[in-house]
Amino acid sequence: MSAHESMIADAVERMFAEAMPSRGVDTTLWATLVEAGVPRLLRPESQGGAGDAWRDAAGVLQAAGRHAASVPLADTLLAHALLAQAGLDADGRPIRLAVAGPDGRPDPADADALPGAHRLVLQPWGEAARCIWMESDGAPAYEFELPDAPRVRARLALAGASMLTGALRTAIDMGVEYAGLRKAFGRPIGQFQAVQHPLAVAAEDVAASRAALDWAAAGLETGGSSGEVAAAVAKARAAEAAGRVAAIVHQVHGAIGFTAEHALHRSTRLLWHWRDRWGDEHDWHALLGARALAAGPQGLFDLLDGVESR
Amino acid sequence: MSLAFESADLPPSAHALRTKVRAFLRAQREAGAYEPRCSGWTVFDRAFTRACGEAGLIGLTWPARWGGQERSTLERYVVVEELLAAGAPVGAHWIADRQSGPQILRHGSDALQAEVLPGIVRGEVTFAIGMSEPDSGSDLASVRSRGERVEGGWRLTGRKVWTTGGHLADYMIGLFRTEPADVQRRHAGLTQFAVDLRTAGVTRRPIRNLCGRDDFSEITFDDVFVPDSHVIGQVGDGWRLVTGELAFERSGPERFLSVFPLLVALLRAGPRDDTPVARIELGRAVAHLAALRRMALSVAAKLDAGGDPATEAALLKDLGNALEREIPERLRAVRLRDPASPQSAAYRALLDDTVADATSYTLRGGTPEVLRGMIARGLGLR
Repeated sequence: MSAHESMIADAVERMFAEAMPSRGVDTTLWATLVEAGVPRLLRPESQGGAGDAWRDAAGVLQAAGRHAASVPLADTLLAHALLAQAGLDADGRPIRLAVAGPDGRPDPADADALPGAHRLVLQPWGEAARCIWMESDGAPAYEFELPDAPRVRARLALAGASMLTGALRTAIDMGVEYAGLRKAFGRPIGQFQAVQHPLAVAAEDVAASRAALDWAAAGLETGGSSGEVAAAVAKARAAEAAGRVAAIVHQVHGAIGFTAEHALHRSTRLLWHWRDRWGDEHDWHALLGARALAAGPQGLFDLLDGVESR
Repeated sequence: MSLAFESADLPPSAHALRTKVRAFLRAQREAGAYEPRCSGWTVFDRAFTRACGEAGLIGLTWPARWGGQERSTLERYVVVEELLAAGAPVGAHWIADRQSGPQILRHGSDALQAEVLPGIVRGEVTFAIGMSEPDSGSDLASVRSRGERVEGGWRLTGRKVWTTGGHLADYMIGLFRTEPADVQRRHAGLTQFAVDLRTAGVTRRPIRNLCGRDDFSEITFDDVFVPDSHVIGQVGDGWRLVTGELAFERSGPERFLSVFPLLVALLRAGPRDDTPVARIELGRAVAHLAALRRMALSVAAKLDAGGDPATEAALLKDLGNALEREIPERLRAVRLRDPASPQSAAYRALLDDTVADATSYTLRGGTPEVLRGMIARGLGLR
């Protein structure tokens, strides 16, 4: 976190730091999160949440991304926010939030098994967001609509950007650390400009992603179109950075980073996964571009501030 | 370890200021005072700068006794971003308002402040930057132009080059060697002087660039007298001062908004929207520019708070310049609805000019090769 100090995010960060790497969902960690009420963070206060606490949510999900935590927190956190809007509740089990792309391609996470989880299928790309709620105990599926699809999309974008930005921060930190440790030709490889400069470029990408995310989280809390534009910017920016940063930190690590044993791929796999989920950078660029076309020559500059003056 | 940019928002006064600048620009456009161009901050136009001075758009953060308005850096930010976005020809006051004036305010003598600051605010006194030399570009500490102490001041000898607007400006803040070079202490023995470029012994020659414009110049100093009152800061402290000045030079919105007028011209021409190419390229530009703008606001706030954002400024400039070079290249993929319209012709002419002009974006004010070294140091790699 930078501008917004989040006690919740700090607490969750400690939970992630203490967890051991896990194959599949870390059920111990999940139980700890549920006990602390973290998955319900975005529900109204009357339901144990903090309302539209998007800066806290961004902090919590960045922590999940930083630690590559083996829990479906982004899905569940967002699903609770959407379910609460429709007056629905759910128990503490994880929720898979499955969002097909604007062209109908399936959510990449849909292929991952999530035993015992509830499932919320979401089509957010039209005027209204269509939802299908399927509880894991086999109750009949329940269909509902949320009227404000742009706001639903913005929430998805913010969550995805938060996961990516957390993973980006770990990736650059690992790249810089390894460049300082690994020696070649008699000195740490980080002393060679050929290694320094790509890491500098990666650091630029990470810094830009963080700045956009801070802006988006504050904007979503304020409400209005500026949060929607900012969230789209944040997801587009971080998703584009993801591929570049992953490539750079892998190149810096050499063969050891390509092994299953080394921890680097926990972060870079997260980057490749989340850049594609809930709209990739091309989807979000196209959505922002449509807003630019609508804004026209007079309104384009205001769009950079998140303002749509048509 | 990665660099964070603290979030910063514009003050409530920004809105009224923005409205005022837009009204000014609309009136100037309607009066035929300028045609929007990319990199308007390198276009030297004294008449336009005087109009900016009259409108109160120069020296906004400076003390009232010099004609300033004692506003914040964030308020100034609003003014400069509007001027840049409009592609207005603000080159005649850009350098004085951005770095020379602030440098003189912090480190100049009272006499020098009184001599130049009120004139800058009125849009009448203009400045150039005296850093690069024929054999000193990125390796700035190797400058060989020198100053020798004489009665009441200094005599300067040497040559500065690639000086934007140097053949047109009234003054230059130049970096000169005032002690012999010492390989052990390369940054010692340098001093900044404010030189009146109309003094005897100064010879100026414009250098035509590949776009066909006389934007930059070569300036020769042959035994040029500068009074003691025109030394900036302490003698021998030039390296610290020049690097401090560079944070102002590198962190502004001109490092990513230079090509914004091209995007406006594209929207005016009307891109074809039957494929997603135009939407994706426009949206990508918006995403990058909006993120950079948040970073620039953060640096402005840090400058306001008295911080030293040298590394952040280097990062911002490198990222912004890379984008400015990419945008014209990528926009070539966009097709126009009516390629024969006058708006389309105007857009294509601007695109062609910007493709060539963009060559300079990663040269002026610090190259990626230098900036990335600074970022690497910020990351702890050097």
